[in-house]
Amino acid sequence: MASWSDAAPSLPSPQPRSRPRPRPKPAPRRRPQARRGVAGGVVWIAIVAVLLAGVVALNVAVLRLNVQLDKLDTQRAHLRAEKQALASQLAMTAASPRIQLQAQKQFGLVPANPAETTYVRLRPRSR
Amino acid sequence: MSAKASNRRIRLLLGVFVLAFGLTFLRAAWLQGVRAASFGRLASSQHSEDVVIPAARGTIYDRTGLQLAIGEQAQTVYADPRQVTDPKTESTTIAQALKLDPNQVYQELTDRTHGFVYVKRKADPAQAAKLEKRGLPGLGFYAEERRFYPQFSLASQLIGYAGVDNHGLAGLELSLDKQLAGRPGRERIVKDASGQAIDTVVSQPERDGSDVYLTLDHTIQANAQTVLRDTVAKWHAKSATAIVLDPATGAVRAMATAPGFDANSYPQVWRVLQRNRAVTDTYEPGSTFKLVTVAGALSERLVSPSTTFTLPYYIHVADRTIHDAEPRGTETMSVSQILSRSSNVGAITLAEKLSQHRLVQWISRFGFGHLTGIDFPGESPGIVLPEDKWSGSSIGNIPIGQGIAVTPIQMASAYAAIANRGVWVRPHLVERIGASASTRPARRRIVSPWVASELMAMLKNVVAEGTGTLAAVPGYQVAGKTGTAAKPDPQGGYSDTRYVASFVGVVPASRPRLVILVSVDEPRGAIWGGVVAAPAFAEIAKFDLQYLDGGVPPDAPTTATASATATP
Repeated sequence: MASWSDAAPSLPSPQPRSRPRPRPKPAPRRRPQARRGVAGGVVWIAIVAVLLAGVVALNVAVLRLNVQLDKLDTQRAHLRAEKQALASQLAMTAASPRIQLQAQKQFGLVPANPAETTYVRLRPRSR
Repeated sequence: MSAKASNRRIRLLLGVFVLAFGLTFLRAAWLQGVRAASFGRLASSQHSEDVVIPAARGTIYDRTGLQLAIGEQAQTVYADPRQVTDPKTESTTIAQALKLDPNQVYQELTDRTHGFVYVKRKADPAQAAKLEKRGLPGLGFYAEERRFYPQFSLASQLIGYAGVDNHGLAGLELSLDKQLAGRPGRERIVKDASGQAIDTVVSQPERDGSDVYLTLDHTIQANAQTVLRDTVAKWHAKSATAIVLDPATGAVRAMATAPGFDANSYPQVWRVLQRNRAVTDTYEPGSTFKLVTVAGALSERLVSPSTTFTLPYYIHVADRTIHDAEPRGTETMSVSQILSRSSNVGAITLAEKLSQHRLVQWISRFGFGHLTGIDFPGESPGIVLPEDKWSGSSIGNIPIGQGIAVTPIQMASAYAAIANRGVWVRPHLVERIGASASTRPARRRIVSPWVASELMAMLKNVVAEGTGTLAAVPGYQVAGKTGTAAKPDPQGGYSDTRYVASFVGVVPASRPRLVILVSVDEPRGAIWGGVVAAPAFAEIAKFDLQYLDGGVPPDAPTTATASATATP
């Protein structure tokens, strides 16, 4: 009687079962998309950063202009005050009664007597 | 660590985050939604401020461009008594710097019931600047515009004044307040932590007040004031008024009242001195009013200048007896002589010929009892009895300027109409406002050119040989009329001691350039218009004729020339 061992054909000894290697995915197809996505993200970040910087710069500029405007307003108010003070000084000194009084006191101004005043009348078209 | 435990922790963390975000969201919604308004107000009160930008008040110029009223920068000093640490020392320092009463300042600084007190409104900027440098705690400063009158007492009754809040309170400052004041601007500014403005949210620019150009000439005005001051001093009079008017245009070149006052110190001046008597006060004109009676009689062609009347010294009218100023016998006088000799009896005779009804019409036609419409506030229309209120004796006193009250500007305008060939022109003080063109004043004919010419000839006789000889100006023909009127007595009747002396004249009479009225209230020593007011008229006229356009050529017959050189 044949034994099983004899009768059975010899089978190759079972080898340790190894995991089937995963088939390589078609990576080359997806990689350019990812790269583009990353690149696009960077670009967006850059754009947002530039925009943010621009907004900040704009605000700073507006702020500076406002501060400058405030200073100019103050300067204008000072100049206006100075102008008003000068105008009132001028008005006081330019008044003819005051000048007349000074002329009378300092230089002996005497008003002309109309009876002793000579008026010259020119003929029409005469030169 | 098992995966299950790990997942639980992640979920827990997620829950915490969700809760935190949820709470944050709820808080944000609470702050942004429910409390938004109150927090908004709180925030805006901390970093935003509503600022009123005051509009500069317009300047008042005379016709030569000289400033009569101007805005000037001043500093208002205020204090927060709660922040003042040493009131005694501070009040002494402040009082010294601003020339104030130290006790009063001390009282204000120690009154801690207020968080704001004015130390001095509109202080001198130099004084305030010195004080600001001291850096006293609790003391604050801000700029304000104050009104300044650089010519001091020149035309002060006319220009009036503006108060502490820069609103006109009297005179032209009051009547032109709307135009002079402008419109203040508003700004809402955002401030940083240091109080510096960093943004302007809302801005409404201020609109400065308009400048006003008057017809007044400061040189003529100053001279008139000087002459009036001397006249008041010479005759110990209560007051005096003068008007210088251009008859052709109705432009007032001077309107003076003595005594005057400095408009910069108006609060310390009696109200009675602040009145522009030429427009607001009335007086009984006396003989200057006879012009109306004569003009009516001439215009109605009842008489001519040469028509003669036999006139006794006195005349009975109802229950009254009226006589001439100087005793005389019965005389024959022409209409011209009635005016030149200022005969009361003659004027009443003419009025009776004219009739009461027509006299009332002529009084109204000359503008008495009506406002002239001069651009000055508080004008009086005068007091003229309506015809139905006339008594039997009214025809005996109104034609000679009694029982009727007129303003000096009414009287000057009436004479200006005669000088202007019978055309009455509304007197005015304002030439133009801002850049707007000047408007032509209202005018109307009241007498014919012939009547005006005849009246001028009669008025020349008044100065040449009548009661107004002291009004003569060398080199010029003068036409005018004297007036002397007793003042009404408070007890009834007329006073024996109190008079108004006046003179109204036109120079040069051949080509009138100016009408000048002088009235002197209660002179002492002499009462006659020809003695008291006429010389003042001559002084004013003499100066003005030399000043106007570099000198008005003389027109007196002795100086008349052909077309070559004239030597008066």
